[in-house]
Amino acid sequence: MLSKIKNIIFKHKNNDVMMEKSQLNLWNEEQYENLKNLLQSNEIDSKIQDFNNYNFYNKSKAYEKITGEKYEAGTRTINPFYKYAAAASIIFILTWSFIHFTKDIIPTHQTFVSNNVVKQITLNDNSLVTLDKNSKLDYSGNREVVLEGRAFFNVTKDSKHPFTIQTAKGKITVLGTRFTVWTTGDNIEVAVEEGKVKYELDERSVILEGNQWMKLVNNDIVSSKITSSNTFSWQQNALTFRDTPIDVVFNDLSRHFGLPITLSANIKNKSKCLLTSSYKNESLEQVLAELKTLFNINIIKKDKEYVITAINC
Amino acid sequence: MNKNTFKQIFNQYYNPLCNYIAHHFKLNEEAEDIVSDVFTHIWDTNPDFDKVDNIKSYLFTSVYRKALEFIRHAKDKKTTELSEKFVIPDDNEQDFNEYLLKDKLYQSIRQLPTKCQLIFVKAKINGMSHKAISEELGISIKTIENHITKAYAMIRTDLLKIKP
Repeated sequence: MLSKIKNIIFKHKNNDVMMEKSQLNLWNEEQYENLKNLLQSNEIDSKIQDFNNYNFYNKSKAYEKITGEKYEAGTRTINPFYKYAAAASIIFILTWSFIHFTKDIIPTHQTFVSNNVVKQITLNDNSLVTLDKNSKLDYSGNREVVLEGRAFFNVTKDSKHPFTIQTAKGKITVLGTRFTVWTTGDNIEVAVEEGKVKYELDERSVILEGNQWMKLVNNDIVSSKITSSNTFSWQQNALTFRDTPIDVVFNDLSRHFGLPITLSANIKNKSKCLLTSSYKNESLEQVLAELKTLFNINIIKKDKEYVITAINC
Repeated sequence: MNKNTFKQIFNQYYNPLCNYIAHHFKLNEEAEDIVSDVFTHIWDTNPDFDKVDNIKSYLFTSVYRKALEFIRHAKDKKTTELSEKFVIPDDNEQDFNEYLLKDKLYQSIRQLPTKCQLIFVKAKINGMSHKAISEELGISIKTIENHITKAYAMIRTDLLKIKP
């Protein structure tokens, strides 16, 4: 009799477990069918719109609070082979990353100063820098430089490690391109020959692409297409003008020689004076002397600045 | 009910239930407490699931009732007024399934590699144009397209892994 009762209890218990099992299986099957339908009907796009409103709560914390037991996500038995394989791969990864990262992190800190000559520099990531006269470049050895003055960069591509240039007025980030950065006191100019460059100042930023340049004007970022053919000329120390209006000529000369040249506000018809000429390895004095004879220009030299007071043509 | 079964049920339902309450009643902060209450009750009383023929509706309607109870007890006039709008759902299977499905789907989106996920969410969920993403992240449109294709493929395989 007793054994019969026991048997019934046992049966019932067993049945209970069976029932639960089948319930779960049913759920799983249903769920699987739903998922399959979702994937087949290409409904994913409409279903994902709620993604940002859907929360993922701390399941393990809740489980521990409810049951007072530890929550371990998915208890599976692991084939010992995988354990060893995992251990081996962890050791491999650690060794590899140690070698790899230590190689990268060791900084070869260097400072380059160009006095009266244009300097060519090859950095340890094979990026090329042309440093203009009277400029200074500080290299941390890790694709990070600090620039004072003017330099042309030809940065090697490395999508994982952006190349950054810190200046007194903002930061420039690139992945791999060719461009010029020019800082003068409180001002900065960036001209991009090829690729993409990001300029950041405080909260603001601008992305420049090939053949675009930017300048700070009254602390505002102004960017446009490169129109002058002499933007990158200082490196070759050559200038070419073809029917170029005289005000643009002075602008280019100023940029090329790195000295401010200003035109008096009372000069009229400046865009009517056109210059066609080319200069190579000539000093600013020599160029100005030629312009003087061509256009009857009146120049006043003040300390490190030239002021044009009259043009006649 | 043995522990393993409880854990499995908890695992599958906790998150969808919390979201269901959070969305239906706008009880974002209380959703977890409400759902935990229901699970605590199940854990303590170990109810006979033998007599429950649908765990899914049992759980969803339980948390729904619990939420209504909560609102009535809150005695806040505003929430009391609100509670009168809600009627016990007549076993809205479709609504429940929706939450269970979304849970799995969003889980697999969250498991995508970081960069892939970032691009996928920006493009497909936040509706940003490929051009805008390319400018923001400084990568080419081609790369973005590749990441999105990869994301879809990974979501698919991840979802189909849950074979019964």
